Amino acid sequence: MSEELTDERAELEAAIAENPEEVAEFVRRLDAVNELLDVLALGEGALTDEMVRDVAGTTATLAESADGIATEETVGLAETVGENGAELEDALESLLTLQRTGALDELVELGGVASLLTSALDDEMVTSLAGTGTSLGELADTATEEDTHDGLETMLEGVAAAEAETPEQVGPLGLLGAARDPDVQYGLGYLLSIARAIGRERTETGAAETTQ
Amino acid sequence: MTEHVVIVGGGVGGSVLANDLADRLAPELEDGDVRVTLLNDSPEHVYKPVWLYVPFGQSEVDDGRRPLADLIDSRIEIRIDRVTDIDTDAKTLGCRDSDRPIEYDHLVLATGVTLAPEVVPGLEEGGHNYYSEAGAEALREELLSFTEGHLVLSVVGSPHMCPVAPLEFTFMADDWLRERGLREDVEITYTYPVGRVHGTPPIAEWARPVLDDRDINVETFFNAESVDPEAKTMTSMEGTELDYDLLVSIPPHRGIDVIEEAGLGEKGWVDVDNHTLEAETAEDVYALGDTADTGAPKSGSVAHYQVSTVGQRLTSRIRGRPPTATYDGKTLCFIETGMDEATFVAFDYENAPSPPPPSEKIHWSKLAYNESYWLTARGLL
Repeated sequence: MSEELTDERAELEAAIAENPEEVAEFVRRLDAVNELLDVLALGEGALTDEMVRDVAGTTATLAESADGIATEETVGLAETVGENGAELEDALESLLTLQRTGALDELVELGGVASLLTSALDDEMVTSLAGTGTSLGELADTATEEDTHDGLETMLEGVAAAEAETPEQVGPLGLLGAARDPDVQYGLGYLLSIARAIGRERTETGAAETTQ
Repeated sequence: MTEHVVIVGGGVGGSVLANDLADRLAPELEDGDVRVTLLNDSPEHVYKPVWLYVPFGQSEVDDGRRPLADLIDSRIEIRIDRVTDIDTDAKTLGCRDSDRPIEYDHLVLATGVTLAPEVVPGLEEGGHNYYSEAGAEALREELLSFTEGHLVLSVVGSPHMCPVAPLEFTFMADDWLRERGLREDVEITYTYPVGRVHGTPPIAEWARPVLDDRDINVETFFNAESVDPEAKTMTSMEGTELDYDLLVSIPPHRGIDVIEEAGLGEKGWVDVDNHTLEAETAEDVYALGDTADTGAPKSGSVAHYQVSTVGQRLTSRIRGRPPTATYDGKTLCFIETGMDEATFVAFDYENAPSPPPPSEKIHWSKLAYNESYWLTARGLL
């Protein structure tokens, strides 16, 4: 035994002599630690290499998951969830209702169509469609004015009635004969009225273009 | 001096471009500074995607035909004739029914494709196809009476029109036969010339499990060498022999001969800059749609999207400005995955396709677009 180790043992004995109660408490705890070590030894004996690898793998996965979960984004997400808990609960309820009624699947399919539309369009098509839509809108605006609407209906009904009948070929004499028919007289009056209005419209438009 | 723009071909690309230029060059057309002529060998415009539905009795070939005169803006001159030669030095076109050549300042080739089944011995006699009006109608007669046996869908030629149509036909045939309680009596085999089920890898990766789930046999690396119509067998260059009862093929495709004769590109495809769509070997010549060898699929959507590039570049040149518009490879194709469901792929030179889950809504979208296609032809959609 070396001189250095003899000195350390003497110091330990002196320390025990000075603190007998603390040493007694330490020994009692040491017994508990030993019991625990016995249990671990039992476990170690029962484990196979594969089981150790599995346990180690699971532990590592858990650790990695915890590490992965604790990213800046997930912490931010958790904060957002916490701050908007009530709204998210409501939203989840709505989602569950959609799921129960089958509407969620419909919405997912409609989402596919929306994705299709955005994929299919390009700038030119958007511009062209918007232009066509605008022209149609302007036309619809004019067509839905009450008088225009009534007039167009009268005209369309007249066209439909004419199509339903078999038109005859009419020469000058036939035209003169037809002119005595009150319906034809009313219709001619109507057409002359349209002709007058179109002429007036074009004159006004022409004058406006000339002054520009 | 009046500049003359000549568009050869009245299919999707040519017709949409003609109407596009009618709007874009409206002032020049009104002042007589520009003329635009659309030259086509038939007075009718044909919308080919309709043919896919003809064999299943869901469309008639007439649904895909309209007179060009009804679709093309009145400011465009329509001329019915067939181009017999192109002189890109003299800037003239020879035509079958005209003694005098047509002079052009700017030429757009949108001549499309022709079928070349004769490249594979026996294919014309032994195989059906839905890539022509007559072919689709003949196939309908065969398919309607086909209740048992081996149906083979063989992609023989590549590139071909509408690259997903072979998959569509296969999926539709499978579903159609199931609906009629005949699928158990019909074996289906799909063949493709390369080592996957489609030329575009993401589409192949998506389609392969669908084919497998539906018990559709797959033969890849199958390059058809010959067909024996009597024995009803098909042999590949790789040495595989397939028996069939009904052979539906995608025949080899070619462009028109005059393109190769004019030195503009091989097999009738014009060599172009993939982005500007300007011919590599001649000045003031553009190509679009199936005619342009860009690497983009030969599909109507490609022709449609390319129109704005050619339209803008032509307009810029005519107005003496540097053209800047370019084509980015934008492509959109619907894929029918059965009789009631479809998906779609959208991609370009940079971005790969990723088909969403098939749905009835996308199938309806395809049907709706096919019906409203005539607005596209008129330049409205």
